Amino acid sequence: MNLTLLLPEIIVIVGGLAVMLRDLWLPADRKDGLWAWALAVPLIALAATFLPQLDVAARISVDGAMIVNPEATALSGSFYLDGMSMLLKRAFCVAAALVILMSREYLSELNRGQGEFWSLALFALSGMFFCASANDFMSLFVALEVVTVSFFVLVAFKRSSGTSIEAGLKLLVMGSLSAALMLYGIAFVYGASGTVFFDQVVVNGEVTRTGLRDLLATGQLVYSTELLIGVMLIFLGLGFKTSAVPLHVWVPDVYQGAPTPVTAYLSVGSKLAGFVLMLRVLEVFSRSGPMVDSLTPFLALVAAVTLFYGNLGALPQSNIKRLLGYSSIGQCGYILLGIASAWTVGISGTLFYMTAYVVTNLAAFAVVILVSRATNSHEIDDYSGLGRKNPLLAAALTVALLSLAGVPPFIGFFGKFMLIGSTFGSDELRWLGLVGMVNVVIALYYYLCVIKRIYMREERHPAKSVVPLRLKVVLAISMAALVIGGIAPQFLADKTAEIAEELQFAPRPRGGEHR
Amino acid sequence: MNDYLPVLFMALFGVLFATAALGVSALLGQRGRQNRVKNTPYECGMPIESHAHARFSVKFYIVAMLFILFDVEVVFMYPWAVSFGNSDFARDAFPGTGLLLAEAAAFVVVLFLGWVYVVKKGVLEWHQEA
Repeated sequence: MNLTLLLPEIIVIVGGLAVMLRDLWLPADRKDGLWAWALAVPLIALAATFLPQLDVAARISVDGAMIVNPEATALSGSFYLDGMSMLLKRAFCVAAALVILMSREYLSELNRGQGEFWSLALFALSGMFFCASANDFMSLFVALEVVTVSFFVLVAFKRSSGTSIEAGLKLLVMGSLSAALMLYGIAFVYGASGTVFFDQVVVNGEVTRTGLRDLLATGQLVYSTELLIGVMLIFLGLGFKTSAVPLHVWVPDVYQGAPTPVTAYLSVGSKLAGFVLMLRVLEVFSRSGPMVDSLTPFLALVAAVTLFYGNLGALPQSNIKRLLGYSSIGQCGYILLGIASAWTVGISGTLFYMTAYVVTNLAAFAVVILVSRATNSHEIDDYSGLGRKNPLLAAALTVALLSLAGVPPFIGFFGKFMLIGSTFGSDELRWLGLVGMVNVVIALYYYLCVIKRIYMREERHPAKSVVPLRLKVVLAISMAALVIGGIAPQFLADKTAEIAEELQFAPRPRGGEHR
Repeated sequence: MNDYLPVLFMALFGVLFATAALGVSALLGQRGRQNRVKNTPYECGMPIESHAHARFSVKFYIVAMLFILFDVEVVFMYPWAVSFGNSDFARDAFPGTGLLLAEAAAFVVVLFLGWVYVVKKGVLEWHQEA
């Protein structure tokens, strides 16, 4: 038991509660200052993730076999700290900090509920942290619901706006459905295996609980239809969070209706929480041949349909938030390419792309917030002439969209390159790589349509966007990350490759040679 | 697959029972005379005061919700108390019972902060116009 490992989580939860209570005793005219309190929390948590006490080897070698280091677990094994959870926690901290910087302007328009907004954003962050560290199906479920329940409220935060309430309700209904599917899947897995734990926990040489991974390794648990159905249902439930087909229909409506900073948070935070859990669950089963044989076609099909749905659906959109919603479904498809390939290089690409996606998408949403404050509209037509009005803002949006489209030299290009490349290692997934490439071309079209409006049309709204310092900081940070990550991707790629090595995925692509 | 047969039978029985109960009462039940008074919803034998779609103050819902919230959260104290009293279990599951106590304390503190929030927001003050 090692409670120090929980320090970032404790900081975020205590910080969230502190912001909630601070708000109660602040006079109404001073509530604007609360954002600084809220911003401090993810920054302190980010600093805490770099503490040497948290730098524990995730796996140790016992009798020649690599097993989970008990020193890296807490809460009797339910909490696990490895390279992947550390990387994701840092990404979540950056995402939360950037979203808090973006939200301040939006919140000053509301006359009430500032404290609740900040504390809910922080509670969602704590749920994401626990997602990154979940080591059994129960903590997976609870952590994910902490994120989702916070987002139910955040999405419906604009109480006077019908679309915001509608978005919240849609998220609630679809979220409950997906949670039920996931629980059903967990029940199947438990029925087939008799355990909900991923790894066994050894205390003083004695096994205190058995884990799925160990049951699979020793052959006590073998492939069965129940197990497969269970895992597929869990993937469907997680697919809701990551906006994968078939539980994707809420995405465009909720993205459009929710307050824009919340959409930004939803599109990176909730999504990455789902992806990290997908990786965790897949990792547990990745060394069982028959399970992988059955899961790979399933995940590949989901990835292909998600790619086509997102990218084709984005083509006719005239609202930028809807467009980004469909684009986020498409991006989910790319990340699923790496997950479906399920070997070390694909997982490394997945982690790379997930990290890159945070800054890229947040940059795009920051510009959307600024433009809509000046024009009071989210129509893409109202972006006409932005290049002449606000050259810097237009450049930022262009860079973000090009990075989302996967144009070099920005960070998104290398992510897509790694993801699509990983599918070509395997003979049976090569078609998926081709689907990915076709979709890059489709996506390029609608991203370029926005850019064309920015630079080649006459302006419709003379109102210039005023960029407050906070959003300048957001744009500066994300642009720096996009460009530096694109020019020198090796730093992040080395890190994700190291993390992927640590995870228990197959070192070679299925049915193919390492190239 | 044989393990799941009882589940199938249970489901079949459920469907059959529901249809049988409805069908039999439709077949055998006497159609009594119907009139306006007889068709009104039963309200303690009194004549009906108002329409059922009346508006309540939202405070009723908030108080009911808070009751359920705190009630359900306190229910978690019972299994905790049992396993805390059962020292063998506590020692096996959590080396060091001090931690078990601290975890419950953290839970209660968070509950208490929720209560502070509710009181400070004035949810329990009924005389104010919301």
